[in-house]
Amino acid sequence: MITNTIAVKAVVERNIIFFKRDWVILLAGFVEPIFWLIAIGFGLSTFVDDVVVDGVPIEYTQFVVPGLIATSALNAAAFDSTFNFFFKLSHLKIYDAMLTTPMTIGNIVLGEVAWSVLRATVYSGGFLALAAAFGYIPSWWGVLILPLSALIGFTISAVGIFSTTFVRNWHDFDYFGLAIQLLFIGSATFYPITVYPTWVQWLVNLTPLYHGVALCRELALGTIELSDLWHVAAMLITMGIFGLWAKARLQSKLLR
Amino acid sequence: MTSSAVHPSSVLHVVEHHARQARKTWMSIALSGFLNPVFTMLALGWGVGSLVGDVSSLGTEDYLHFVGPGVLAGTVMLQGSFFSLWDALGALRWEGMYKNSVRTPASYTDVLTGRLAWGFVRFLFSSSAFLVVLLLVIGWSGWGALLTPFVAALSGVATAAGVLAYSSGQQSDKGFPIISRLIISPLFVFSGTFTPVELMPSVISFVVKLFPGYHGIEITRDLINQRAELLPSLGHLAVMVAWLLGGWFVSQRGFRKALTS
Repeated sequence: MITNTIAVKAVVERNIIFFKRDWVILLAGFVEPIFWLIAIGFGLSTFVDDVVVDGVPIEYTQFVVPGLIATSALNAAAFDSTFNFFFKLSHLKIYDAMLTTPMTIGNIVLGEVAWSVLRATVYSGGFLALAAAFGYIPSWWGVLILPLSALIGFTISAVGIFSTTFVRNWHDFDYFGLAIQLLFIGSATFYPITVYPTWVQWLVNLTPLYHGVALCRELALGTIELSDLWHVAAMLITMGIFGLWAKARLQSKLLR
Repeated sequence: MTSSAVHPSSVLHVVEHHARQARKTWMSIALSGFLNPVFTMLALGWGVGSLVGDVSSLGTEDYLHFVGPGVLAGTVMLQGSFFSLWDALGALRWEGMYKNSVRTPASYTDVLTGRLAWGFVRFLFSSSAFLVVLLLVIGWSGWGALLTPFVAALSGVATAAGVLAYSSGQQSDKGFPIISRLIISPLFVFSGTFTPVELMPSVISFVVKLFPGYHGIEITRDLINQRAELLPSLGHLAVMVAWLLGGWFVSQRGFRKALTS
């Protein structure tokens, strides 16, 4: 047995070395939400009315930007914890190799999650800085978006790794593409959740990204309240359940 | 056969091969080509649509009438691009089917033509399914609407031909993530799918007009909103056909090198 810190460091380091060759891919993932920002800032915001949040009308771009920051974390974490994780698990057999060292499955899951969190934080952090520079983060509460991005990354990554343990072949990932799109568009990113009928609102409350988007928006606008801790709790619970479950499923998959 | 001659029957065999293959992979085509865009259209059309007050810059009845046709044709453009990236490289280099085809009376040009023809058929199916949902949501909008799957499929296959001109010459998929994230993805967002091109900075609106996707979206939107005019439509068609023919022509080189050497 080795300590979690050393193991996590090893897994993260491996990812960093791997992406050093393909740093352009990392950069490309970062620019995608910026395209949306341009399309919304120049386009949609000119014909979409202000959105009323807590009784206050908010300009549309201002409304969407925090949502895009949250989806930026989704983009980063979702890819690493699904496609890349599967590739390493089933094709490169990296984890089989790691298990011949003193590393445990718990170490590996934690290490991969840590890498996703790092990537999510860097993506969202970059976007956050950009948004702040253009004046879209009017409140100092916005600083907390950085740790929030890490939490979003954590949650998405736990759910992602858990789901990936069910994947049989590459075709199964088509469902993931759909799921990611559902989260991206449906998590009250582009319009307030009140647009939905009540039962859909309940469903959306059960999905991981929605809480990140909602919290991100409250922080950016400075309208945060104590009751918003509910969103944090929802993400922590999701993360805990799926993280542990993923570990258990990997245990039976790898240690046969 | 290693010549570049086109044999219609061989082209049909290639189409048939892909059609038979699709019996196994239809689910993935349905997920990315139908369910995904239907959801996107409904979420944006109803969700964002409920926030739109002034539709004068859209030139349509409401936002759903704008974004619906946009997503219809825009999706086919995306499908066309991916059809010519990993999917094409796999068929051309990683799997043996195309390599074996040219040992029969089929030429490499037959394989290329058959692949693009299959793309057209596939896009026609997925956009027809999407059109059914669109018309269920916005109501019957004239006979012209029935032409939109053909227009969308043409823009898809024109995009596919353009991307194939690049990808068929590649030994590996190394450059593909960059193409997909830095060229295809912005073209999808900026080609008038969600927001009028005229509102974009002039550099962007100029660039997207060079590509077939924008023209497919414009024609589709005009047809659905019953405002299509002959001359502009012919112009849009001409750009798409030019991309299709140009892409087909350049791709022959990549197919020849990959399949006959």
